[in-house]
Amino acid sequence: MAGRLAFHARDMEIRWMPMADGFAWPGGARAAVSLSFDDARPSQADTCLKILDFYGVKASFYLSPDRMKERLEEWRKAAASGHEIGNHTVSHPCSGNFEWSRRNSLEDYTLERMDAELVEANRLVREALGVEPRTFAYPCGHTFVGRGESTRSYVPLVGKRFLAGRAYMSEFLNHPAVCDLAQLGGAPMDGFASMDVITRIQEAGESGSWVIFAGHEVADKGYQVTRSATVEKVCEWLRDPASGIWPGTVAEVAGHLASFRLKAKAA
Amino acid sequence: MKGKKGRNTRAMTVAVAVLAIAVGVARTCRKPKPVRENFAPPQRAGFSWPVGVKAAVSITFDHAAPSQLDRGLPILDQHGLKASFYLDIPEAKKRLADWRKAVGVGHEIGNHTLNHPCSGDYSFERKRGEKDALEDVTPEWVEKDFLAANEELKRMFGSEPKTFSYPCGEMFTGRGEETRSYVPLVARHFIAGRGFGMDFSNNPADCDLAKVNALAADGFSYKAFLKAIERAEASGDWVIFCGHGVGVKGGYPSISDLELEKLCAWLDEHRKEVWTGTVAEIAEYIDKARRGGNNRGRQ
Repeated sequence: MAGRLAFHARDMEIRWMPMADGFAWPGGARAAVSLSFDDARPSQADTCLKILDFYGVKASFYLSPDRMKERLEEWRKAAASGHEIGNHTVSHPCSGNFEWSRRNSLEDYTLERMDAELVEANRLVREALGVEPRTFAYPCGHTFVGRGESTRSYVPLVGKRFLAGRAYMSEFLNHPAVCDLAQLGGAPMDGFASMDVITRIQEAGESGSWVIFAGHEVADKGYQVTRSATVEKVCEWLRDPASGIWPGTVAEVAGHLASFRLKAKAA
Repeated sequence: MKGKKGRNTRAMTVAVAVLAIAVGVARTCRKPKPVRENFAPPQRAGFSWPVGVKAAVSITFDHAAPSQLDRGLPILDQHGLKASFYLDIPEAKKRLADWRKAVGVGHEIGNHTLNHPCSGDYSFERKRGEKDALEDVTPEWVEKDFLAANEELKRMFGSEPKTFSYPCGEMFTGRGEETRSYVPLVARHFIAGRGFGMDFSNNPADCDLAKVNALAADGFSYKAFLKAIERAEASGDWVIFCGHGVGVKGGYPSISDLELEKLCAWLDEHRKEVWTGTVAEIAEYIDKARRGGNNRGRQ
């Protein structure tokens, strides 16, 4: 993700960020980090969960209901043991610029159809795993339906139905004072070495931010692959209290922020 | 000023970035199925590039950094390639004569707003301390801002920009249930709006010209550029690159001048198969080709 920081997050002269009054991460942590994985790729169940469980780190899994069936038992166990299961729509619609999405493209979607799909994906997960998704990951990180003058944001639907929504390919860190829970930045993790990921977490530490990583397959190497060695080393690093980082699922961290904001509003 | 530690971290992350992006570009899409490999050559019914052309490329730069003029333009001009520059207006005014010269040889000047509104998560938005992060404003606010930029650019260059680049690649205002897309307003005022940092190239047969994507190309190697172009050739796409500086050392995000030179030499040599044009040129061609009748009239 270092490369993905590109321009706008590289304004590193400016480290200063005002924290919201009275806000603190749990346990005096400097920052929060969430690991998340999309699409219910079987390698997540076969490889990733084993690593996470070995180190006792909980992650968020945004399951595509169809692919979820390929490892149903494993996902049930994961949900029961405290990993988060999130909503990733039923049919994974993205911009039609992706060849595989041309027959199911967001440019051809309506808000009503998207809303129905959000509800349906929750139902499928609930019936299969017995848990209700509380957070959402935007397929491809795209947050719109329609085209040109008819383009509409579907963030409001996510804002209404979920505690939080995670985008993708974002270059910013989520700042607790200002971040919109309905449209959180998600940093790509596929292909990166553990050092890149830890560097990014350290940057979150400097500004007191929350970084959410998003990966796909978990294996040694290849297409859309988060390296298992990266997951291992990052988990090992996170587990050490000296890191000063709070590793929480997206729902846990978003819940902490939401309850802080509620209290602040009431006060 | 940044501390030593900051500089080291930056140097390291930039070094990593070059490598990482080279790897990253190969995986341009993010979805279960490997992307285009599994498909027959995509159907491009109703659209064709000019005879012999397999794909299109646009080279774009945001923010008007001086290195774009001093190191980027000489390379582009030497190879006779036209690029699109989305100017930060105060910055551009410092070198107005040079920017006018660029326009004179056919480069495009585009609109990048006056105030560069982005999400408040960006630290420069917090630093600025004004309530004008995207979460705080409305589509109408952004419209006013980019129309003011249009006026200013018209005064500077004699004509209004035809295309727009979204600051930070972000296309919304507001937050939560109040979030709104401002793409409709860009669609109303420009022939194309260029996003930033997503991982796809644009399908000319039916991409939405109001939100075409540019790959974040700072730190790209020649190899990374070529990989993206080869993918575009395989699918007949329009790939747009966006950089911020050229050959700047010390952490400012930029494309190395050596890599840019190699890219431009390649594009120069392959101009029959790969059409390099400004965003406005290519968007206009696409629009016209679609209106030509055989497109399914989706625009």
